[in-house]
Amino acid sequence: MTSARNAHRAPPAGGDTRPRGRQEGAGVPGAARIAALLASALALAGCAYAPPKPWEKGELAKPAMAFDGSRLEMRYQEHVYQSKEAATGGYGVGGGGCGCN
Amino acid sequence: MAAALALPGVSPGASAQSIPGEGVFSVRYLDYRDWQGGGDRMRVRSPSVFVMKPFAGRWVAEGGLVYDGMSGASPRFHNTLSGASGEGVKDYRTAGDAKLTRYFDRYALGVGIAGSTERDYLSKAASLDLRWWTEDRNTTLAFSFAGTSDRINSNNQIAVNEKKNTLDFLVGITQAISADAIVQSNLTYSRGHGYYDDPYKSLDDRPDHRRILAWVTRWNQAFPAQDATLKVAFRVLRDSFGSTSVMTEAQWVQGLPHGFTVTPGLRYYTQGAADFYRAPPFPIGFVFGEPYTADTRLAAFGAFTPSLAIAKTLADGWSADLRVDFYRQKGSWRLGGDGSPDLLPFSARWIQGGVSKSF
Repeated sequence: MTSARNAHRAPPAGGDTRPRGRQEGAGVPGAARIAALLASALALAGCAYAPPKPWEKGELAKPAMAFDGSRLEMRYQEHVYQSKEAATGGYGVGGGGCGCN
Repeated sequence: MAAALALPGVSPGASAQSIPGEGVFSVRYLDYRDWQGGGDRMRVRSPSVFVMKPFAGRWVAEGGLVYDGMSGASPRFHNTLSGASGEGVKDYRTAGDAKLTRYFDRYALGVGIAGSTERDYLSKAASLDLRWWTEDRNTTLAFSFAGTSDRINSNNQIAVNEKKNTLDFLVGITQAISADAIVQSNLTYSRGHGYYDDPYKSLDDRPDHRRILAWVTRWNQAFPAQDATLKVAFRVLRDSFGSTSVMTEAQWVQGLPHGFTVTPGLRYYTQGAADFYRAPPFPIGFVFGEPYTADTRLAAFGAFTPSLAIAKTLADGWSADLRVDFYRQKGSWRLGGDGSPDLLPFSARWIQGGVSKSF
């Protein structure tokens, strides 16, 4: 990379480093609304909050209730989406990068 | 720097509060292909293997390996994965990871390493995760930290010994809501610095730092009377490149006689464009010295992924499954605004199958 290509890269101290003049897509305006809906759903769930006793965990122990069932399947899924979309995250940390995005 | 698939990660597995009772050995194979505008693009074949084994009463060792063989061409014109768009590409990727976890009465501590190598990309990562659970084991808190160091040497000599370093942090909670429901919520923050350009594209010039904040919540609800489980997930992600994305997904796991399960699913994803994305025709919008990309992965679009999986539990700890996903991406499917103009619809399908053995 030439120094000209990287000329913009040093972030100014304390300033917003994001460039101006983007064309479209200033985020997803509906995101806040969806988050509010989800928060409402969680609040409703809170009303039904009844943590199980040890002898009531038969359903929770079933494989279908696991969040990370098949590691290999999960990794394939995450990586396909990582190579097709802008960014991914939220399910774990680390794992090494790749040149796909 | 291929569009290699399957990244062995060092996920914390935040739901596990106790040491597994037995080990597992899994092999899996993925066949991926995508197309755009009626023309086939990339094809990836990827076998992988995973082993997990508890030992000495309180320890668990696990590790995985994956090999990706890729051929074809990246999506037309400006969505590049490797090599010039529309031209032939052949590449491979080998990746592996290992993790060691020590279980205590109320918490578990894990350390992991991971590595990935391509012809033009080398990545190394290390992680540390702590899980702590309440005495009744209905609540688990997870704290994870990872560091990743990448080295880029592109085949065209545009990127020579370029570096990218990333720190990842995760805080999560898993809560049993009732005897039939469990919820998990994770907040992750990623902070990276270094080389983010695509060296195989003309004029691709991105900021040298990136921050990603993601919030994921997943909910699993059992329906014992129907022998079924509903699994829903929701994610909001904010990227310092300027893009915000929302993902929501639902799966219905239906138990069937003779040890079969069938799982239909649907995922919807929408994202805004990065601040420096410029739609075609290339290179309109390019200003010397300012960030610029025409990579459609940073455009504004929406995407749907219907999926179907079938699994069967076999005798002696064996199980097998097969899953197919179909991905369709269009600008007009973006939620809450217009998609990027002149974005060609993009499609992909992937099929994966695996066999596991408990031991």
